[in-house]
Amino acid sequence: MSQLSDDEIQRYSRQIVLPEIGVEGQELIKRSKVCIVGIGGLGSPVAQQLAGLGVGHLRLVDRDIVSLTDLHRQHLFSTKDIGRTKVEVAAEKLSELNPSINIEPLPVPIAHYTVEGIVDGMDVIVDCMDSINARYLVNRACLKKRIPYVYGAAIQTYGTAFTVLPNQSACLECIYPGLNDTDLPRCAVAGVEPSILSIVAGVQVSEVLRIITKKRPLLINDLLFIELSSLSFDHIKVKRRNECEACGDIQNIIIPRTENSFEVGCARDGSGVYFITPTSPKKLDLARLSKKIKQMNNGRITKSRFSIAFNVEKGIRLNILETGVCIAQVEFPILDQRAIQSRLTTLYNALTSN
Amino acid sequence: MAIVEVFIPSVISNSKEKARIKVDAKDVKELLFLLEKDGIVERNRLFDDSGKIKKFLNLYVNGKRQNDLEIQLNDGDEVSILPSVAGG
Repeated sequence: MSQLSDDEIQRYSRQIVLPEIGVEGQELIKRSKVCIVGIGGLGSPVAQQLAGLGVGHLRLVDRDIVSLTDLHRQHLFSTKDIGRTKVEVAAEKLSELNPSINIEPLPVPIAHYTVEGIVDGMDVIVDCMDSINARYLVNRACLKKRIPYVYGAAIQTYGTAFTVLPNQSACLECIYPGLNDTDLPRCAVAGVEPSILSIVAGVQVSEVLRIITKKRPLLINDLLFIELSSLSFDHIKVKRRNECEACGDIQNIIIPRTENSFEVGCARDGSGVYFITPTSPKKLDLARLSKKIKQMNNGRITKSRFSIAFNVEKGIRLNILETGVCIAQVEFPILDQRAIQSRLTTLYNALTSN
Repeated sequence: MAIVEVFIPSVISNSKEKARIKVDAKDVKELLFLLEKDGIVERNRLFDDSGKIKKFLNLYVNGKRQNDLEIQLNDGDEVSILPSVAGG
């Protein structure tokens, strides 16, 4: 007896007809739990496709808000969504696309204290982030929890994808060891063409689909490198390294931060962007925080499910998430970066202390 | 000397096309020297100011990531030179 309702059989009929999926495959898809980390250029199309396919439980992880500069490539979002947390908007849009699946939006940062909880209980993790440091943490959590991990990345007009079966195949740090975010170009500076994101996202979804329908993924020890300039897809065989600090013979831990991290994000919408991320779990009471802000200034506060946004003074807008993440947008020109850091950190501490 | 097969995507090579070529080189250092000499890759795409292979580049020798100029090469080895990609 099929576990699929008549409605589900109708909805998924165009994929159930495929011999690679069938009714049995669709039931496996329905029972699967997939986590997408990063709901941006890759995460948007990955989330839309997985929701459409009927993945039973989708966990969406992102600490960022929607900005105008996202909209040319992140088609899950609309102009009216600017300023809201990405996971909140994504959860609404995906529920409209497919009301029968569970969607779990998590507006949390990727940090040593969150990462294992983020991957826990999932059948597969899809890495769609834009930070190598955060990607290292997720790769290691997947190795520890023995969860398959599908890597995808793109910039300018090229991209890559591979899949890690923990402790069986080359992991992220076997392939890209010893990097920091500052070593790599980012989309805001180098640019990215939306079509490469769709291609890489499609490859990631194909790997996820193979994993959740109990087939062997194809990109094991196989780095797929895609270039739009020649529309080429090249496969490079890769191997595990004994010296790998994540999965090799001598493993080194990533030292957790001891103070709130202050990061300069990619400039957007005519403003400099700064992230403050706490070093331990936080659950802010947004109603209480709103009162505090009103006492400080009488400006308008915009509330949404996971965050509140307000102007501190002319040219500085803060968006504070209940998880303690603060996204500050500071209008150009920014004359003194250090003064900005000091000002924002002081404000953040005043607002979030008890 | 050793005949090795080299793959370089166009984002690294000087051309609009990717390169799949055979090169006769005894080690990685000589291989990169020849690639530069033959105009296949510009030096500033491979090395930083201190003469080290750029941090975001990856040299895979028979699939193992080894950014070491001293690695000896053997006939039939496969070498790929790829950038790290982490944008999303």
